[in-house]
Amino acid sequence: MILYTMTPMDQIFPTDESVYSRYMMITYNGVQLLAERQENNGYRVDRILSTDPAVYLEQSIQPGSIIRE
Amino acid sequence: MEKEPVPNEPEEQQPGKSSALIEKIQQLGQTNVPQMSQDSKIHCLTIVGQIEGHIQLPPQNKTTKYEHVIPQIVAIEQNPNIEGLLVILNTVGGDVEAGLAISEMLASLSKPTVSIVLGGGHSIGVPIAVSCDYSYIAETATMTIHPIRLTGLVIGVPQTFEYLDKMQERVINFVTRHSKVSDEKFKELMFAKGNLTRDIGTNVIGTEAVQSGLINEVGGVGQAMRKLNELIETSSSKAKGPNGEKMLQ
Repeated sequence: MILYTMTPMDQIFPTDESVYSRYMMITYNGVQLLAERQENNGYRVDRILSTDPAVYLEQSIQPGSIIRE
Repeated sequence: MEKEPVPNEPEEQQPGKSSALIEKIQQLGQTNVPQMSQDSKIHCLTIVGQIEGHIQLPPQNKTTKYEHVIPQIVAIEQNPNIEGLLVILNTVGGDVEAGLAISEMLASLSKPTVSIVLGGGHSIGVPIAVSCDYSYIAETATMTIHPIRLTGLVIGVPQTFEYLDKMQERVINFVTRHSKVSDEKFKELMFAKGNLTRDIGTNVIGTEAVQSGLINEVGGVGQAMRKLNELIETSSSKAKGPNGEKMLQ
């Protein structure tokens, strides 16, 4: 089937709810992070949500790093 | 690597220096990250990807969420240690209401603000870029100015059209109030034909954005920081007053 439409794809094929629920906001050492829950009870940092540039240089919360519970 | 890894040695038991190093290379492509002194007095707000409004976009989309940005701006306003804000934009645009909300928050911030458009500051990114006290655009960065629309939905009733028209008026008013661009010029850019493929609007690049009066200057992070420090200095001396008297504002 070919859909000839300018409607965004995610409006036609909505994303599965489970994809949303994997990502969550966590606070780590007072910094808000958007993290993806890992299967082994850890979190993988996806994004840092802060306006403080110094936070972005902190080694332990670099995007991609794993935070253990 | 100097030492050959010994086979059969349980790696999990000693997550020592080498694995931490490898992890760092995997994550960042480098081994060390520069350090900075504590308590930066200039904070930096990045507006990237799509500006997300009422509809949550799938996680694979890079978005700037309204509910994250607004509390940050409030915190910046309240924190006495923060003296200025640098806004970095690389956005394709997004929700009009959310974008205007962020713009209004930035425009009403009492601390000096400077924005830089890097890459792109399209659509509703335009009001955000002009909302700051001073704005910069990188030479290669672009801004697309186009009329408001609902993606993919056909406007069927006059009410919708009038509502959209009013919404657009709000954007135009905000932009003309916060930048040097005139109402006529902005509308001219917005409804220009032949610039965008099968669409109306204009794509202004670097110096063109400055010439039209939208953006103050062409420049990068160096100039922006210098300007911000300058603004911080003048605002702090203004707060003291030339003869030490209190300024009313």
